[in-house]
Amino acid sequence: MITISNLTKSFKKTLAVNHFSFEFDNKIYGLLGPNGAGKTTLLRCLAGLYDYTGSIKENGKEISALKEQERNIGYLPQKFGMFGQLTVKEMLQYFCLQKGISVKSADIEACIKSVGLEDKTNKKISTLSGGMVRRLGIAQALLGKPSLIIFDEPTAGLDPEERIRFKNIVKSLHGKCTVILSTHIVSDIASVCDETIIMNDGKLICCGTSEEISQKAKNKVYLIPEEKQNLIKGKYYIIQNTSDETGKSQLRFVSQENQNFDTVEATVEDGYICSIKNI
Amino acid sequence: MQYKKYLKQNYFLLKSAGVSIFIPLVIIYFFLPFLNYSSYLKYGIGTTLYNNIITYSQVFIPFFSTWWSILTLKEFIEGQGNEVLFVNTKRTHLFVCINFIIFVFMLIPLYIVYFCLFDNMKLEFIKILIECVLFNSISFAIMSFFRSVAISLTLPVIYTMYSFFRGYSSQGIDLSFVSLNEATYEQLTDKYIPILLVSIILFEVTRRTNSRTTRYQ
Repeated sequence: MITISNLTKSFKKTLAVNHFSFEFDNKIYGLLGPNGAGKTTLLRCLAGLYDYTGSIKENGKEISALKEQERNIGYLPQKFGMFGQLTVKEMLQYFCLQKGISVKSADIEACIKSVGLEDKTNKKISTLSGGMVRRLGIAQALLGKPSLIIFDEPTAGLDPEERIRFKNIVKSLHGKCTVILSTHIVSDIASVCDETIIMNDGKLICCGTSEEISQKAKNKVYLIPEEKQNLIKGKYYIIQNTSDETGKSQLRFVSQENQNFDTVEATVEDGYICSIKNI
Repeated sequence: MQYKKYLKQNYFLLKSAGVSIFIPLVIIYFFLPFLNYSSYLKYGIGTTLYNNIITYSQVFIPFFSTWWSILTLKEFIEGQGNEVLFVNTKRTHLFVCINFIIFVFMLIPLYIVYFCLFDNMKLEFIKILIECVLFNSISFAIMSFFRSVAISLTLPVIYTMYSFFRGYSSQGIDLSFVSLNEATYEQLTDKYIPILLVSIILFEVTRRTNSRTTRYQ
Protein backbone atom coordinates (compact mmCIF):
# COMPACT_ATOMS: atom_id res chain seq x y z
CA MET A 1 0.00 0.00 0.00
CA ILE A 2 1.31 3.43 -0.94
CA THR A 3 -0.01 6.50 0.81
CA ILE A 4 0.65 9.96 -0.55
CA SER A 5 -0.17 12.87 1.74
CA ASN A 6 0.03 16.50 0.75
CA LEU A 7 2.71 15.86 -1.86
CA THR A 8 4.09 19.06 -3.35
CA LYS A 9 6.88 19.41 -5.86
CA SER A 10 7.93 22.62 -7.53
CA PHE A 11 10.63 23.57 -10.01
CA LYS A 12 11.70 27.14 -9.31
CA LYS A 13 8.42 29.04 -9.75
CA THR A 14 6.46 26.21 -11.35
CA LEU A 15 4.30 24.13 -9.05
CA ALA A 16 4.26 20.74 -10.78
CA VAL A 17 2.45 18.75 -8.08
CA ASN A 18 0.21 20.68 -5.73
CA HIS A 19 -0.84 19.15 -2.39
CA PHE A 20 -1.62 15.77 -3.91
CA SER A 21 -3.01 13.11 -1.57
CA PHE A 22 -4.02 9.59 -2.51
CA GLU A 23 -3.91 6.01 -1.31
CA PHE A 24 -2.84 3.31 -3.74
CA ASP A 25 -3.93 -0.26 -3.11
CA ASN A 26 -2.99 -3.45 -4.96
CA LYS A 27 -4.92 -2.35 -8.01
CA ILE A 28 -4.28 -1.08 -11.51
CA TYR A 29 -4.54 2.70 -11.65
CA GLY A 30 -4.72 4.83 -14.75
CA LEU A 31 -3.33 8.33 -14.56
CA LEU A 32 -4.87 10.82 -16.97
CA GLY A 33 -4.28 14.49 -17.47
CA PRO A 34 -3.34 17.04 -20.11
CA ASN A 35 0.29 17.82 -20.97
CA GLY A 36 1.95 19.59 -18.05
CA ALA A 37 -0.61 18.31 -15.54
CA GLY A 38 2.18 16.94 -13.32
CA LYS A 39 1.75 13.23 -14.05
CA THR A 40 5.40 12.48 -14.81
CA THR A 41 6.55 14.55 -11.83
CA LEU A 42 4.18 12.62 -9.58
CA LEU A 43 5.48 9.32 -10.94
CA ARG A 44 9.11 10.40 -10.51
CA CYS A 45 8.39 11.39 -6.90
CA LEU A 46 6.86 7.94 -6.37
CA ALA A 47 9.94 6.33 -7.91
CA GLY A 48 12.13 8.28 -5.47
CA LEU A 49 13.80 10.32 -8.19
CA TYR A 50 12.78 13.73 -6.88
CA ASP A 51 12.93 15.35 -3.51
CA TYR A 52 9.51 16.56 -2.42
CA THR A 53 7.58 18.07 0.42
CA GLY A 54 4.77 16.09 1.97
CA SER A 55 4.88 12.39 2.45
CA ILE A 56 4.98 9.20 0.38
CA LYS A 57 4.78 6.07 2.47
CA GLU A 58 5.17 2.52 1.25
CA ASN A 59 3.70 0.08 3.76
CA GLY A 60 3.96 2.76 6.44
CA LYS A 61 7.60 3.69 5.74
CA GLU A 62 8.62 7.00 4.18
CA ILE A 63 10.22 6.16 0.81
CA SER A 64 12.96 8.77 1.12
CA ALA A 65 14.19 6.96 4.24
CA LEU A 66 14.32 3.56 2.55
CA LYS A 67 17.65 2.15 1.41
CA GLU A 68 18.42 1.27 -2.19
CA GLN A 69 17.48 -2.39 -1.89
CA GLU A 70 14.44 -1.86 0.33
CA ARG A 71 12.35 -0.60 -2.57
CA ASN A 72 11.05 -3.05 -5.10
CA ILE A 73 9.95 -0.90 -8.01
CA GLY A 74 9.44 -1.48 -11.68
CA TYR A 75 9.69 1.79 -13.55
CA LEU A 76 9.34 2.53 -17.23
CA PRO A 77 10.10 6.15 -18.11
CA GLN A 78 8.51 8.05 -20.98
CA LYS A 79 11.64 7.76 -23.08
CA PHE A 80 13.64 4.59 -22.77
CA GLY A 81 16.75 3.79 -24.74
CA MET A 82 20.25 3.24 -23.49
CA PHE A 83 23.07 0.70 -23.40
CA GLY A 84 23.16 0.38 -27.19
CA GLN A 85 26.18 -1.94 -27.07
CA LEU A 86 24.63 -4.43 -24.62
CA THR A 87 22.46 -7.34 -25.66
CA VAL A 88 18.86 -7.63 -24.50
CA LYS A 89 19.84 -10.27 -21.93
CA GLU A 90 22.80 -8.26 -20.63
CA MET A 91 20.69 -5.18 -20.17
CA LEU A 92 18.18 -7.13 -18.11
CA GLN A 93 21.05 -8.62 -16.09
CA TYR A 94 22.17 -5.05 -15.38
CA PHE A 95 18.70 -4.15 -14.12
CA CYS A 96 18.64 -7.31 -11.96
CA LEU A 97 21.83 -6.09 -10.31
CA GLN A 98 20.42 -2.61 -9.95
CA LYS A 99 17.29 -3.93 -8.27
CA GLY A 100 19.34 -6.24 -6.09
CA ILE A 101 17.67 -9.39 -7.33
CA SER A 102 19.49 -12.56 -8.30
CA VAL A 103 20.43 -12.76 -11.96
CA LYS A 104 18.47 -15.94 -12.61
CA SER A 105 18.30 -16.62 -16.30
CA ALA A 106 14.84 -18.13 -15.91
CA ASP A 107 13.34 -14.89 -14.61
CA ILE A 108 15.05 -12.86 -17.32
CA GLU A 109 13.96 -15.25 -20.00
CA ALA A 110 10.37 -15.22 -18.72
CA CYS A 111 10.35 -11.42 -18.87
CA ILE A 112 11.82 -11.42 -22.37
CA LYS A 113 9.19 -13.95 -23.45
CA SER A 114 6.36 -11.95 -21.90
CA VAL A 115 7.16 -9.02 -24.20
CA GLY A 116 7.76 -11.22 -27.24
CA LEU A 117 11.49 -10.56 -27.63
CA GLU A 118 12.69 -14.16 -27.21
CA ASP A 119 14.26 -14.21 -30.68
CA LYS A 120 16.23 -11.03 -29.85
CA THR A 121 17.74 -12.23 -26.55
CA ASN A 122 21.33 -12.03 -27.77
CA LYS A 123 20.90 -9.09 -30.12
CA LYS A 124 22.45 -5.71 -29.35
CA ILE A 125 19.99 -3.04 -28.28
CA SER A 126 21.29 -0.69 -30.97
CA THR A 127 19.93 -3.10 -33.59
CA LEU A 128 16.36 -3.11 -32.18
CA SER A 129 13.53 -0.94 -33.48
CA GLY A 130 11.97 1.77 -31.31
CA GLY A 131 8.97 -0.44 -30.49
CA MET A 132 11.22 -3.33 -29.48
CA VAL A 133 13.25 -1.08 -27.17
CA ARG A 134 9.95 0.02 -25.63
CA ARG A 135 9.04 -3.63 -25.04
CA LEU A 136 12.43 -4.18 -23.49
CA GLY A 137 11.67 -1.26 -21.19
CA ILE A 138 8.46 -2.99 -20.16
CA ALA A 139 10.42 -6.22 -19.51
CA GLN A 140 12.91 -4.47 -17.22
CA ALA A 141 10.03 -2.94 -15.26
CA LEU A 142 8.58 -6.42 -14.67
CA LEU A 143 11.85 -7.93 -13.41
CA GLY A 144 11.86 -9.24 -9.86
CA LYS A 145 8.08 -9.14 -9.35
CA PRO A 146 7.99 -5.55 -8.02
CA SER A 147 5.39 -4.42 -5.49
CA LEU A 148 4.93 -1.14 -7.38
CA ILE A 149 5.09 -0.84 -11.15
CA ILE A 150 5.04 2.57 -12.79
CA PHE A 151 4.48 2.84 -16.52
CA ASP A 152 4.84 6.30 -18.01
CA GLU A 153 3.38 6.32 -21.54
CA PRO A 154 4.06 2.60 -22.00
CA THR A 155 2.24 2.10 -25.28
CA ALA A 156 3.83 5.01 -27.18
CA GLY A 157 5.48 3.53 -30.26
CA LEU A 158 3.95 0.08 -29.90
CA ASP A 159 2.09 -1.48 -32.81
CA PRO A 160 -1.54 -2.59 -32.25
CA GLU A 161 -0.56 -6.23 -31.62
CA GLU A 162 1.99 -5.21 -29.01
CA ARG A 163 -0.47 -2.84 -27.38
CA ILE A 164 -2.84 -5.76 -26.92
CA ARG A 165 0.02 -7.86 -25.55
CA PHE A 166 0.93 -5.06 -23.15
CA LYS A 167 -2.65 -4.68 -21.94
CA ASN A 168 -2.78 -8.44 -21.29
CA ILE A 169 0.47 -8.22 -19.30
CA VAL A 170 -0.99 -5.42 -17.18
CA LYS A 171 -4.23 -7.35 -16.67
CA SER A 172 -2.22 -10.38 -15.51
CA LEU A 173 -0.72 -8.20 -12.74
CA HIS A 174 -4.16 -7.55 -11.26
CA GLY A 175 -4.19 -8.04 -7.49
CA LYS A 176 -0.48 -8.93 -7.35
CA CYS A 177 0.95 -5.43 -7.03
CA THR A 178 0.19 -1.74 -7.44
CA VAL A 179 0.34 -0.69 -11.07
CA ILE A 180 0.20 2.97 -12.11
CA LEU A 181 -0.25 3.57 -15.80
CA SER A 182 0.08 7.06 -17.18
CA THR A 183 -1.07 7.50 -20.76
CA HIS A 184 -2.96 9.79 -23.11
CA ILE A 185 -4.74 6.84 -24.67
CA VAL A 186 -8.00 6.81 -22.74
CA SER A 187 -9.17 3.52 -24.25
CA ASP A 188 -6.10 1.76 -22.80
CA ILE A 189 -7.02 2.99 -19.34
CA ALA A 190 -10.68 2.15 -19.75
CA SER A 191 -9.90 -1.42 -20.74
CA VAL A 192 -7.29 -2.38 -18.14
CA CYS A 193 -7.49 -0.09 -15.12
CA ASP A 194 -9.52 -0.63 -11.97
CA GLU A 195 -9.47 3.05 -11.15
CA THR A 196 -8.68 6.21 -13.06
CA ILE A 197 -7.04 9.24 -11.51
CA ILE A 198 -7.44 12.56 -13.32
CA MET A 199 -4.88 15.29 -12.68
CA ASN A 200 -4.71 18.88 -13.82
CA ASP A 201 -2.38 21.70 -12.78
CA GLY A 202 -0.67 19.36 -10.35
CA LYS A 203 -3.88 18.63 -8.48
CA LEU A 204 -6.05 15.57 -8.15
CA ILE A 205 -9.27 16.44 -10.00
CA CYS A 206 -11.15 13.19 -9.52
CA CYS A 207 -10.78 9.48 -9.17
CA GLY A 208 -13.05 6.53 -9.83
CA THR A 209 -13.78 3.48 -11.92
CA SER A 210 -14.26 3.86 -15.66
CA GLU A 211 -18.03 3.85 -15.11
CA GLU A 212 -17.79 6.55 -12.46
CA ILE A 213 -15.62 8.73 -14.71
CA SER A 214 -17.97 8.32 -17.66
CA GLN A 215 -20.92 9.16 -15.40
CA LYS A 216 -19.44 12.65 -15.06
CA ALA A 217 -20.49 13.25 -18.65
CA LYS A 218 -23.92 11.66 -18.33
CA ASN A 219 -26.55 13.69 -20.23
CA LYS A 220 -23.85 16.12 -21.40
CA VAL A 221 -22.73 14.36 -24.58
CA TYR A 222 -24.35 15.12 -27.91
CA LEU A 223 -23.88 13.88 -31.44
CA ILE A 224 -25.23 16.23 -34.12
CA PRO A 225 -24.81 16.86 -37.83
CA GLU A 226 -22.03 19.39 -38.37
CA GLU A 227 -24.29 21.93 -40.09
CA LYS A 228 -26.22 22.32 -36.82
CA GLN A 229 -23.17 23.53 -34.93
CA ASN A 230 -24.51 27.10 -34.92
CA LEU A 231 -27.51 25.88 -32.89
CA ILE A 232 -25.34 24.85 -29.92
CA LYS A 233 -26.00 27.05 -26.90
CA GLY A 234 -23.45 28.29 -24.38
CA LYS A 235 -20.09 26.75 -23.56
CA TYR A 236 -19.28 23.47 -25.27
CA TYR A 237 -16.27 21.35 -26.16
CA ILE A 238 -15.97 19.35 -29.37
CA ILE A 239 -14.66 15.86 -28.70
CA GLN A 240 -14.75 14.32 -32.13
CA ASN A 241 -15.55 15.00 -35.77
CA THR A 242 -17.01 11.84 -37.26
CA SER A 243 -19.08 10.73 -40.22
CA ASP A 244 -22.33 8.82 -40.15
CA GLU A 245 -23.08 5.81 -42.37
CA THR A 246 -24.07 8.12 -45.26
CA GLY A 247 -20.75 9.99 -45.02
CA LYS A 248 -22.28 13.11 -43.48
CA SER A 249 -20.06 14.99 -41.07
CA GLN A 250 -21.03 14.75 -37.39
CA LEU A 251 -19.92 16.52 -34.25
CA ARG A 252 -19.62 14.87 -30.88
CA PHE A 253 -19.48 17.46 -28.13
CA VAL A 254 -20.02 17.92 -24.42
CA SER A 255 -21.91 20.81 -22.92
CA GLN A 256 -23.17 21.66 -19.48
CA GLU A 257 -26.17 23.47 -20.86
CA ASN A 258 -29.27 21.61 -21.94
CA GLN A 259 -29.23 21.49 -25.71
CA ASN A 260 -32.13 20.83 -28.03
CA PHE A 261 -30.54 17.61 -29.22
CA ASP A 262 -30.61 14.04 -28.04
CA THR A 263 -27.83 13.00 -25.70
CA VAL A 264 -25.71 9.92 -26.38
CA GLU A 265 -24.00 7.46 -24.06
CA ALA A 266 -20.98 8.94 -22.31
CA THR A 267 -17.55 7.31 -22.45
CA VAL A 268 -14.50 7.62 -20.17
CA GLU A 269 -13.07 10.13 -22.65
CA ASP A 270 -16.20 12.28 -22.32
CA GLY A 271 -15.96 12.07 -18.53
CA TYR A 272 -12.29 13.02 -18.69
CA ILE A 273 -13.03 16.07 -20.85
CA CYS A 274 -15.86 17.15 -18.52
CA SER A 275 -13.50 16.86 -15.53
CA ILE A 276 -10.65 18.77 -17.15
CA LYS A 277 -12.79 21.46 -18.77
CA ASN A 278 -14.98 21.78 -15.70
CA ILE A 279 -18.11 21.11 -17.73
CA MET B 1 27.82 -6.96 -0.87
CA GLN B 2 26.73 -3.57 -2.19
CA TYR B 3 30.23 -3.06 -3.62
CA LYS B 4 29.96 -6.36 -5.48
CA LYS B 5 26.72 -5.14 -7.02
CA TYR B 6 28.35 -1.88 -8.12
CA LEU B 7 31.36 -3.78 -9.46
CA LYS B 8 29.13 -5.96 -11.65
CA GLN B 9 27.08 -2.96 -12.75
CA ASN B 10 30.32 -1.21 -13.62
CA TYR B 11 31.24 -4.12 -15.88
CA PHE B 12 28.00 -3.75 -17.87
CA LEU B 13 28.31 0.05 -18.00
CA LEU B 14 31.83 -0.25 -19.39
CA LYS B 15 30.74 -2.91 -21.85
CA SER B 16 27.96 -0.62 -23.07
CA ALA B 17 30.60 1.96 -24.02
CA GLY B 18 31.94 -0.34 -26.75
CA VAL B 19 35.50 -0.31 -28.06
CA SER B 20 36.28 3.14 -26.65
CA ILE B 21 37.00 1.50 -23.29
CA PHE B 22 40.31 0.25 -24.73
CA ILE B 23 41.68 3.74 -25.39
CA PRO B 24 43.36 4.14 -21.95
CA LEU B 25 44.97 0.70 -22.38
CA VAL B 26 46.30 1.71 -25.80
CA ILE B 27 47.74 4.86 -24.24
CA ILE B 28 49.33 3.02 -21.27
CA TYR B 29 50.61 -0.08 -23.02
CA PHE B 30 51.39 1.13 -26.55
CA PHE B 31 51.50 4.90 -26.96
CA LEU B 32 53.50 5.87 -23.85
CA PRO B 33 55.98 2.95 -24.19
CA PHE B 34 56.43 3.92 -27.85
CA LEU B 35 57.19 7.56 -26.94
CA ASN B 36 59.53 6.48 -24.16
CA TYR B 37 61.29 3.92 -26.33
CA SER B 38 61.82 6.55 -29.05
CA SER B 39 63.29 8.81 -26.42
CA TYR B 40 65.51 5.98 -25.14
CA LEU B 41 66.81 5.30 -28.65
CA LYS B 42 67.64 8.97 -29.09
CA TYR B 43 69.05 9.84 -25.66
CA GLY B 44 69.74 6.53 -23.86
CA ILE B 45 69.05 6.12 -20.14
CA GLY B 46 69.65 9.47 -18.48
CA THR B 47 68.13 12.78 -17.37
CA THR B 48 66.51 13.53 -20.73
CA LEU B 49 64.69 10.21 -20.80
CA TYR B 50 63.61 10.72 -17.17
CA ASN B 51 62.29 14.20 -17.96
CA ASN B 52 60.50 12.96 -21.06
CA ILE B 53 58.87 10.12 -19.10
CA ILE B 54 57.51 12.46 -16.42
CA THR B 55 56.32 14.96 -19.04
CA TYR B 56 54.52 12.40 -21.19
CA SER B 57 53.05 10.78 -18.09
CA GLN B 58 51.62 14.03 -16.78
CA VAL B 59 50.18 14.93 -20.18
CA PHE B 60 48.35 11.66 -20.77
CA ILE B 61 47.88 9.65 -17.59
CA PRO B 62 45.77 12.04 -15.45
CA PHE B 63 43.43 12.78 -18.35
CA PHE B 64 42.96 9.14 -19.35
CA SER B 65 42.49 8.09 -15.73
CA THR B 66 39.06 9.72 -15.94
CA TRP B 67 38.11 7.98 -19.18
CA TRP B 68 36.35 4.95 -17.69
CA SER B 69 34.57 7.00 -15.03
CA ILE B 70 33.22 9.31 -17.72
CA LEU B 71 32.13 6.40 -19.91
CA THR B 72 30.45 4.72 -16.94
CA LEU B 73 28.54 7.82 -15.87
CA LYS B 74 27.69 8.76 -19.46
CA GLU B 75 24.43 6.76 -19.46
CA PHE B 76 23.48 8.34 -16.15
CA ILE B 77 23.70 11.86 -17.52
CA GLU B 78 23.01 11.52 -21.22
CA GLY B 79 21.17 8.22 -21.79
CA GLN B 80 17.61 8.50 -23.03
CA GLY B 81 15.26 7.71 -20.17
CA ASN B 82 18.22 7.59 -17.81
CA GLU B 83 16.04 8.29 -14.76
CA VAL B 84 15.38 4.55 -14.54
CA LEU B 85 19.07 4.09 -13.70
CA PHE B 86 18.67 6.21 -10.58
CA VAL B 87 15.74 4.27 -9.15
CA ASN B 88 17.86 1.80 -7.19
CA THR B 89 21.30 3.33 -7.64
CA LYS B 90 22.05 6.24 -5.38
CA ARG B 91 25.82 6.06 -5.06
CA THR B 92 27.17 6.87 -8.51
CA HIS B 93 30.46 8.03 -6.94
CA LEU B 94 31.28 4.36 -6.36
CA PHE B 95 31.66 3.91 -10.12
CA VAL B 96 34.31 6.65 -10.10
CA CYS B 97 36.16 4.92 -7.24
CA ILE B 98 35.96 1.48 -8.89
CA ASN B 99 37.25 2.78 -12.22
CA PHE B 100 40.02 4.71 -10.55
CA ILE B 101 41.21 1.56 -8.75
CA ILE B 102 41.07 -0.45 -11.99
CA PHE B 103 43.08 2.26 -13.72
CA VAL B 104 45.74 2.23 -11.00
CA PHE B 105 46.09 -1.55 -11.37
CA MET B 106 46.48 -1.09 -15.12
CA LEU B 107 49.16 1.53 -14.53
CA ILE B 108 51.31 -0.64 -12.26
CA PRO B 109 52.99 -2.77 -15.03
CA LEU B 110 54.12 0.39 -16.83
CA TYR B 111 55.57 1.82 -13.64
CA ILE B 112 57.29 -1.45 -12.77
CA VAL B 113 59.34 -0.91 -15.94
CA TYR B 114 60.00 2.70 -14.88
CA PHE B 115 61.01 1.53 -11.38
CA CYS B 116 63.62 -0.71 -12.99
CA LEU B 117 65.01 2.20 -15.00
CA PHE B 118 65.07 4.96 -12.36
CA ASP B 119 65.14 4.79 -8.55
CA ASN B 120 63.12 7.97 -8.11
CA MET B 121 60.13 6.65 -10.05
CA LYS B 122 58.37 5.55 -6.84
CA LEU B 123 57.94 9.20 -5.90
CA GLU B 124 56.87 10.00 -9.45
CA PHE B 125 54.29 7.23 -9.16
CA ILE B 126 52.82 8.79 -6.01
CA LYS B 127 52.81 12.17 -7.79
CA ILE B 128 50.96 10.79 -10.81
CA LEU B 129 48.44 8.99 -8.58
CA ILE B 130 47.63 12.27 -6.82
CA GLU B 131 47.21 13.95 -10.20
CA CYS B 132 44.85 11.15 -11.23
CA VAL B 133 42.81 11.63 -8.04
CA LEU B 134 42.57 15.34 -8.85
CA PHE B 135 41.38 14.70 -12.39
CA ASN B 136 38.83 12.12 -11.29
CA SER B 137 37.44 14.56 -8.72
CA ILE B 138 37.27 17.35 -11.31
CA SER B 139 35.53 15.11 -13.86
CA PHE B 140 33.06 13.79 -11.28
CA ALA B 141 32.24 17.35 -10.20
CA ILE B 142 31.84 18.57 -13.79
CA MET B 143 29.65 15.60 -14.74
CA SER B 144 27.48 16.10 -11.68
CA PHE B 145 27.08 19.86 -11.96
CA PHE B 146 27.13 20.42 -15.74
CA ARG B 147 25.67 17.04 -16.72
CA SER B 148 27.66 16.95 -19.92
CA VAL B 149 30.22 14.46 -21.18
CA ALA B 150 31.63 16.99 -23.65
CA ILE B 151 32.44 19.51 -20.89
CA SER B 152 33.83 16.73 -18.70
CA LEU B 153 36.30 15.88 -21.43
CA THR B 154 37.09 19.42 -22.55
CA LEU B 155 37.81 21.15 -19.25
CA PRO B 156 40.50 18.65 -18.13
CA VAL B 157 42.21 19.08 -21.53
CA ILE B 158 42.19 22.88 -21.07
CA TYR B 159 43.47 22.46 -17.52
CA THR B 160 46.28 20.18 -18.73
CA MET B 161 47.27 22.75 -21.39
CA TYR B 162 47.17 25.57 -18.83
CA SER B 163 49.27 23.54 -16.40
CA PHE B 164 51.98 22.90 -18.96
CA PHE B 165 52.13 26.53 -20.07
CA ARG B 166 52.27 27.54 -16.40
CA GLY B 167 54.94 24.92 -15.77
CA TYR B 168 57.19 26.47 -18.41
CA SER B 169 56.53 30.15 -17.58
CA SER B 170 56.29 30.19 -13.73
CA GLN B 171 54.61 33.61 -13.53
CA GLY B 172 51.55 34.45 -11.39
CA ILE B 173 49.70 32.14 -9.02
CA ASP B 174 50.46 28.47 -9.58
CA LEU B 175 47.20 26.56 -10.04
CA SER B 176 48.75 23.88 -12.19
CA PHE B 177 48.98 20.25 -11.21
CA VAL B 178 52.12 19.69 -13.26
CA SER B 179 55.64 19.59 -11.94
CA LEU B 180 58.35 19.08 -14.53
CA ASN B 181 61.08 18.80 -11.92
CA GLU B 182 62.24 15.52 -10.44
CA ALA B 183 59.90 14.45 -7.63
CA THR B 184 61.16 15.01 -4.10
CA TYR B 185 59.60 14.55 -0.66
CA GLU B 186 59.45 18.35 -0.28
CA GLN B 187 57.61 18.67 -3.58
CA LEU B 188 55.11 16.03 -2.49
CA THR B 189 54.42 17.68 0.87
CA ASP B 190 54.43 21.26 -0.43
CA LYS B 191 52.47 20.82 -3.63
CA TYR B 192 50.94 17.38 -3.99
CA ILE B 193 49.53 16.72 -0.53
CA PRO B 194 47.52 20.00 -0.75
CA ILE B 195 46.35 18.94 -4.24
CA LEU B 196 45.27 15.58 -2.78
CA LEU B 197 43.34 17.31 0.01
CA VAL B 198 41.62 19.67 -2.44
CA SER B 199 40.73 16.68 -4.63
CA ILE B 200 39.24 14.73 -1.74
CA ILE B 201 37.24 17.76 -0.59
CA LEU B 202 35.96 18.38 -4.13
CA PHE B 203 34.96 14.72 -4.46
CA GLU B 204 33.21 14.70 -1.08
CA VAL B 205 31.36 17.96 -1.78
CA THR B 206 30.15 16.56 -5.11
CA ARG B 207 29.11 13.29 -3.51
CA ARG B 208 27.17 15.04 -0.77
CA THR B 209 25.56 17.46 -3.20
CA ASN B 210 24.48 14.55 -5.37
CA SER B 211 22.92 12.74 -2.44
CA ARG B 212 21.20 15.80 -0.98
CA THR B 213 19.83 17.41 -4.09
CA THR B 214 17.75 15.88 -6.82
CA ARG B 215 19.58 12.89 -8.17
CA TYR B 216 17.82 12.96 -11.48
CA GLN B 217 17.56 16.25 -13.37
